[in-house]
Amino acid sequence: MSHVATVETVIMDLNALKKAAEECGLVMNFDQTTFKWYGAWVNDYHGNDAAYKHGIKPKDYGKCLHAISVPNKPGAYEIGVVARDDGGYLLLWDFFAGGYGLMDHVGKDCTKLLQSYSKHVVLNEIATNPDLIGYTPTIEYENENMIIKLTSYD
Amino acid sequence: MKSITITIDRVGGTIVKTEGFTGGTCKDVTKNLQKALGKTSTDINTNEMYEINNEQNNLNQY
Repeated sequence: MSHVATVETVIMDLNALKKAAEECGLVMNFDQTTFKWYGAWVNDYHGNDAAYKHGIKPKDYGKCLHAISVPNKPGAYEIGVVARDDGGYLLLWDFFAGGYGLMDHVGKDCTKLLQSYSKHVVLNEIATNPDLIGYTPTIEYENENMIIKLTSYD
Repeated sequence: MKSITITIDRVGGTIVKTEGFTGGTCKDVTKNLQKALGKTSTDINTNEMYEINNEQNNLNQY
């Protein structure tokens, strides 16, 4: 039997997020409860990924449980890690002016960080999930997609 | 050969596709992986499954 499943990424593994941050040249700061952004909600962004459309009140912008920062760049904005209702985490960031260097690390829409996060989740599963023993991973990129192929000859 | 292909798009959407599995094992193998990656929104059996099931059904008739 074979199948195709679509999965909406939900950040649940902070260790994988830390590894992804480091891979992007960033630092994960556990228990940092505020993150740097423009500093005031000016009602100027209403895209589908706007934080307020995902349950974050504008008055709470800048508050977080943990933060991800650009090392040695004090003027750079940061990424806030906030709790979701289901036990996972949301990432919040301000891309104004490229986050003053932040977006160079994570890419537009935080693509590099999110893909790296998923990659580390998969690698962790290969290392710890008995169902995946014997699978060998290969990673390639096609357009802007990251493709991880797990192969078993058993 | 069995393979699991995980395609992660630019905005965090992921597609998990299995190939080469027989019987009902593919969903067991990827269940925890999908859970670790996030929230599964759709899960569709492929033609391969139906071909195999049909073969099994045919065999069962003899």
